[in-house]
Amino acid sequence: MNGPAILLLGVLLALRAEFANITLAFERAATIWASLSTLSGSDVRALPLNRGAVIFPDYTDIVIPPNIAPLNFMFQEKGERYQVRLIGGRSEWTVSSRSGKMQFSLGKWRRFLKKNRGTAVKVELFIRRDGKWFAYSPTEWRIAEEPIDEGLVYRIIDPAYHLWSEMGIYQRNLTNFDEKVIMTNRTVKNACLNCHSFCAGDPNKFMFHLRGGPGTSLILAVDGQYQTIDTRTELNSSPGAYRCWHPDGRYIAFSVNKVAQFFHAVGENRDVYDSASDLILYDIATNTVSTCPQIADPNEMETYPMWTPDGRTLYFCSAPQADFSDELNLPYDKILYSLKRISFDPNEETWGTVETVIDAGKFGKSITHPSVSPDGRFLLFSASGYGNFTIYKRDSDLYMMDLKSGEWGLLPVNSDQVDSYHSWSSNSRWFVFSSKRHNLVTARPYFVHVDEKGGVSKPFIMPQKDPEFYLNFIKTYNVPELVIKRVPYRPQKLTQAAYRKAEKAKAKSGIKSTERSAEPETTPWPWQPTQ
Amino acid sequence: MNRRPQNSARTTEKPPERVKREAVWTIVWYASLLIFLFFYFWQIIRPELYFTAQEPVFYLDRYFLKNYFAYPGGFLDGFSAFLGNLCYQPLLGAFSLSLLLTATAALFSVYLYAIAPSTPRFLASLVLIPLLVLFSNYAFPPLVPAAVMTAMAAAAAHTRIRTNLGRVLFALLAGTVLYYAAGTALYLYALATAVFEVTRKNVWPILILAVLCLLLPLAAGTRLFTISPHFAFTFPLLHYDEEHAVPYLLYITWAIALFVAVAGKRVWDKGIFIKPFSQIVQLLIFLAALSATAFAAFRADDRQFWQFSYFSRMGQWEKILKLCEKPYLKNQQVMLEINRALAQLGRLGDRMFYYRQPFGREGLFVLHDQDVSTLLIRSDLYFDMGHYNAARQWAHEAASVRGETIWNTQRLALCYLILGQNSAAELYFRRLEKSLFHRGWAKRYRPYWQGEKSLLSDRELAAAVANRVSQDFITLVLYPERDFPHLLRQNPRNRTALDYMFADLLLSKKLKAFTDEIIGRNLLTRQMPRHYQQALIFYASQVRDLPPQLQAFRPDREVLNEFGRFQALARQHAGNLKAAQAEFEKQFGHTYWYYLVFHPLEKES
Repeated sequence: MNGPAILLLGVLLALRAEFANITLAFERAATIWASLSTLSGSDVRALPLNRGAVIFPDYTDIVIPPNIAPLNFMFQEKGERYQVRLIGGRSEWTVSSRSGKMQFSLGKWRRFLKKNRGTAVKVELFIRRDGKWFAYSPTEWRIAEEPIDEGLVYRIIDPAYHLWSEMGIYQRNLTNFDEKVIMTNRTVKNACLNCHSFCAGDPNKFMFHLRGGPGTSLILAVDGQYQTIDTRTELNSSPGAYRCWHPDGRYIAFSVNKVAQFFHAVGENRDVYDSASDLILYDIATNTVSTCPQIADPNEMETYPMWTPDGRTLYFCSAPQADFSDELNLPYDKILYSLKRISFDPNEETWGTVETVIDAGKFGKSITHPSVSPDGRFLLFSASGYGNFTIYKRDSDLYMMDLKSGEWGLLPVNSDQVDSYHSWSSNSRWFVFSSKRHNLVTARPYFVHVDEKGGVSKPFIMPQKDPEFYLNFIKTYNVPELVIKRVPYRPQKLTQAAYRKAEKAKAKSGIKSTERSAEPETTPWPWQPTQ
Repeated sequence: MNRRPQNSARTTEKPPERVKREAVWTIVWYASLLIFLFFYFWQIIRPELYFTAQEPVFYLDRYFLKNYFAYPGGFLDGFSAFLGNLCYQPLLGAFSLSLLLTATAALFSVYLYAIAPSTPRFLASLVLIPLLVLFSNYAFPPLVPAAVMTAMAAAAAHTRIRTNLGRVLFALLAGTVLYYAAGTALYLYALATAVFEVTRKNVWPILILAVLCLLLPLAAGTRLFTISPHFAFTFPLLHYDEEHAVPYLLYITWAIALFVAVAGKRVWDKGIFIKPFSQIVQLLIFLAALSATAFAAFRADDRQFWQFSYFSRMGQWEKILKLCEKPYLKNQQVMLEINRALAQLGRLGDRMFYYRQPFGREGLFVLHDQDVSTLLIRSDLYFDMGHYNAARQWAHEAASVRGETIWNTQRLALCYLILGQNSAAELYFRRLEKSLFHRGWAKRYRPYWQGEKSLLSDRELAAAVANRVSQDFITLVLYPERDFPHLLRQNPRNRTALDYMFADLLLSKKLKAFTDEIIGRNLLTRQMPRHYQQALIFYASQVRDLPPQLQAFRPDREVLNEFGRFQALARQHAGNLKAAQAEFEKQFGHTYWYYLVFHPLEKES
């Protein structure tokens, strides 16, 4: 029956002149017939609509991890009934709905992905209107062989300006819909919790900063042991800020920044500049801080440190020190950060010389958030018109460099809105990034598959049980970090650590300060009335 | 409430007539209290002002409501937010609050009668006195009264169980549920139960509740919930940011009433307090006591402050000026509301100095935060001036500090809509569609953010779009005067920005800049606002090389004559103007000249 039907349909389509190419007409006919003949397993006939369905979130033509939670979505089309048919290489699955919300059962979903791992799944979408079924052009989900890390850790905050009250660091199990709190500021007098980080995605090696509340400190949780550290020393009057663990877990490279926030009258009104910054190296074993003139150059503003997986090179961003003395004429839009690197010997704790990897002056954009894939092959970074606070930059995009060939370029995952902070999966085949593409206000985590050659798939948003979730959730997902498995630390223990007296870090002997001014950092604090 | 014997072996059955009579008196008593409280809330406290002060956050949204289940006492916290929201509708709010308080007293009486069946009603209703004090300053949410009511409901239910074993099981179950739903209301229930069980010589419920009071908060604060142990042991009954004394007064009153009820059992049993005449006297005295408490505790200043805020929020500008006809609160935010009302009515340049402007520029902009409401008020001002990016910034700041209240969410929704960011606007309009009383307002805008209708098809939205800024500049909250040239360059017809720019120049006493702006904008006419004329006349009297336009200017005759009188008085007191300030204020307090001479010049910020 299939052959004649496709032949007839193909001829009809060709006659209607919808397809200039006769082969295309027959391919289309085959697709339509497949959707007609498989609908509900009954003899229901669906008329083709010759367009894709509008669904939310947009899960069309994507590559998905074999262990991801169900990609629940909803039709944004008016109809009486809805149906989705998943046709995998090894099995099929049909799900129906009256509301338009397609919510897959977790157990069946897992079995379906397991069975069809490594294959392409045709996703057929149907709608019933006025008693008749219509078929949208099908879409495709390719189930990758490589799984994504199980956990995603992020901070949930209000769209942040200068003030805040509630925030928290949460972990989401990406294989289902469980979200658990790691730490909220409700237990620490509404202090600011920020820059959570893990050593090479290991949930047992965890750190975050605390500002205000019980005190300014770095909370370290390493293999079940908690430490509360004040990273300010005579070398650095500001505490450590942007951070990266050395892969052997002993060191953390920090930037120390003097941050200022200001506001625009048009477009994204928030903006930030650093009026000074340096890099420091914190040694967990000895609780000491060190630095060197190469990474704390008085004529440069160094920030965003990132280790290579072998721990022998530190990538970072750096811009020439700007002059901020004229308050009415701040040079914030002239600051361009270049991508640089420096070699490091972890055994001797010695530094090499700084090399410029991408010169921002030639590139014409400012580079931030370098991030090397765990296999050491690729380097992801963000770039925007100026400055270093990309989450406030609509022109911020993701770029990737192949460290083997040195080639780099703009990734086809970007939108015309903010695409910023990113984190690699431990197998280097996935990364997550923050994007405000949906509503310009709140950042959401998006996932991308990367193949061995650096080819990337279309990003898809983190799935939620209720597909309408993102239309109603007015908080923002901040600093998404992939972790191999569940973070074992409980908020109660972290709260206890926060209230412990912070141990003062010491400057490593024999190192002189290169800091330009002894002014403390200007991080905003929780709201207080002036009276 | 019916007085029901707890132990039939020890008390005799009441005759049916007496039971019926007592039922009638119970109804009369609590109905009277309910009516009194209703009128007190409706007419004196005014629920809409309570809503304005509290700005409770409550949405019928699954994700929003889920938050209330994440900590002990959360359920009650949500209920309190719901009650607070009802206050947006004055009648509904007054009824809900009065019902809450009356129910608390009634449930307490049920409990007391179980211990001392002849306890006079006024003793059980004594708790209303501190509860009234609690509501008198607009600072407390209905959380504490709700917690007391819940504890009393549990205690009353406990006393109705006849068997010891039943009460042991009830204590275990109710104690646990109560802690999860109402937090430390458990303590009050445990105390009440302990007193009751002592009279029944049953120690087990006391022990169980004592253990629960210790273990549940400990487990909640260290293992079960993401809360601090301090929060677990205090929320909500002992957890306050301010004015600690008032809730403690409530607990002390509660304890005293309980003690007196138990200690005076022999006196009550004589039946003096259940005679009809005695009941009437009790009721009258108690209502008088409530009235006296209400009168003594009521804070007129607080009410007036929130009254200004409420009228401003509702756009009732004339009512703001009406409030100023009587002595009114001298406060920067109140001054800002008055100036804003004048600007909205187009009278800022004519009338602003009739209100003395004691705070100078601070009363125009409130440059420094006064309390949690300052942030949204600042947003209001920027919104009026068409500075939508700054308006949304301050609405976001307000949302960060107070949560997504109705008003800051409305502001964000409108700002994003006017700025053309429909998907962002959608987020906030959708939120409002889940509110109790603003869903209709939000739905009205659906066609606009969905792109079905153009903003220009709506008169108000079209006017807002016309004010929209298109060229970027850096805006700083402490220097609003730097924004005016940008706002006016892009839309010279931005009336509010123009009015505020002139008002700012007058308040800053920058007369040359003021004169230059007036001349530069060709506004030098006899119809120009009175204070502008006053400023120009004064400037002209002080400067030799006047611009030709100012030389040719003929001000209003009346203003000119008034200035003549002002100069005469100044000459009369030359050398010591300060000593004659009262005389100047009497005659010229409503003029710019008085401000110019007697208001201390602010330091440049």
